[in-house]
Amino acid sequence: MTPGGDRDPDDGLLLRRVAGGDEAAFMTLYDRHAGALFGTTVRFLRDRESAAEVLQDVFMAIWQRADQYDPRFGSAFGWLLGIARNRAIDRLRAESRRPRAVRAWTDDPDANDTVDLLDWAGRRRSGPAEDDPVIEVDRRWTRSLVRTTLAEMPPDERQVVVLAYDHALSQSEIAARLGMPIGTVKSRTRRALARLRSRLADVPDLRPGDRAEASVAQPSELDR
Amino acid sequence: MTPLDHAEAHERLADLALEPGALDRLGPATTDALGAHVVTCETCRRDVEAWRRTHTRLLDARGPGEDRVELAQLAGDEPIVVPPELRGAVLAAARRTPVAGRSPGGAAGRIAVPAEVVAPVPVVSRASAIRLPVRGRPPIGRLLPLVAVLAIVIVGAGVVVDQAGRADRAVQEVARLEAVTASLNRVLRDPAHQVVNLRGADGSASGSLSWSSRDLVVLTTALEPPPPDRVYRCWIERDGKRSPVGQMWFAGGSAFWNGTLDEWATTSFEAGGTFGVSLEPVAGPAGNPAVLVAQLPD
Repeated sequence: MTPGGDRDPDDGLLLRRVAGGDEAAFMTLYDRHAGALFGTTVRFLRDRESAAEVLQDVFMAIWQRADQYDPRFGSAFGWLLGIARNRAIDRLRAESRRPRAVRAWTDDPDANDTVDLLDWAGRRRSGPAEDDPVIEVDRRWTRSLVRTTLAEMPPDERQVVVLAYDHALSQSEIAARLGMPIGTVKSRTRRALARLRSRLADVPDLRPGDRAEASVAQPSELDR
Repeated sequence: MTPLDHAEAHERLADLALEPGALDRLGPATTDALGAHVVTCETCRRDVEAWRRTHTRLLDARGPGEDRVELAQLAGDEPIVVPPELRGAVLAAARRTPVAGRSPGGAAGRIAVPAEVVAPVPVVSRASAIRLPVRGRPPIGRLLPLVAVLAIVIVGAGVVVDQAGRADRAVQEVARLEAVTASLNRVLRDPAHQVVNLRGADGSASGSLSWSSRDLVVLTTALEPPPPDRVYRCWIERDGKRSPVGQMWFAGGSAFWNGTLDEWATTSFEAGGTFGVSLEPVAGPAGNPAVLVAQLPD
């Protein structure tokens, strides 16, 4: 498998067709990726209306600038995701400038960072990297993408990934825990990680030292 | 040490990638056959980097130190569905947007997708909705034929109209009716679905508000289409404060609205509130008296 997933060559071809004004290619890209982009943006912004507007903005950017996609800098999905991320952060900044009621959900692992994130535009980088609001926003974006990808997975694939990461179980330990052949566990884990890899491959690193060479330099520059 | 061929190395890398951190044991100093192959194979080096990035992003998503959450906590979501009307809205917006270097109207691969204006996406809380008790249910089964008849009327109208503007409107109405029919179908399939009457200003039954764990549907025949500068807005009122959630659409003599219940809502759909519809200006402040209301059960 190549970085970015099997569908990337097709996406690149579709983008080239979109650059020539091909509506069918444009809507194929929409059908293929709108769900992941919308799910990630809704989870990031916690606002369906704003996320719907961001999704429209993203596809308008694709319609107008598809010719600027360069596969040398990453996958097509990574490009789309970078545009969505930038637009969502712009929306978060705009929202932070006016009072807004936000529901806190007790079962939401992101609930406690809501105030900080809505206020982040007014803060400056200071202190350790863990406290950097920009990194925190990026973490929330990555987390939203992971949540979206996990939500789309079949439960049996989700289960083996959780056991591997949360419980640090080896493949044979997972097989013993679930009472199933190790071959089954391996094939489920492979499918699950392949899905995650195709989505996460071009997400920029959160660590400050790596951000300078972040792989989404392409969309963040072209999207402006 | 026997050298590995690329296919074998690729397989072993895929196996190592199944366990978080296992790839970290590979590096330029690795002396085994796999490490030796990776050092010399650009494709495998990229593969290793891609897997490492995947693992790192998963760890990033969990958060640092005390803020760290387990992946299981991130894995409990239901998929979030894109509002169906967005697809047509995106295509319509693209068609309205000229792009330098492309000939207008001469695009390749032009397709027929309903082009409609984006309606505000309604948001209400699924978590609270499923706690609401069931009350008396109007015969909602009668509403499906109503929607089907409306769709036939509108499709028929679309066939006979000879003005492009009217045909476009008919196409938009059909798309909205398709969406509300699909929503209503999902509501009815949910055994926990609930229905309450909408009531007019005089207290008479004037339609229905029905919802499931996922969808919310409003149907009424009690409204006249609004004048061009007005719309019927839907809202939820609690403690005297209204939160807008959408607007009514018209087809034939019926008005309808469908929304999505979602745990990421910013407007709650909790017991004891009031769902209402009022005639408001297209632009400017809203707050006119309700023409239709439904009390959400306590």
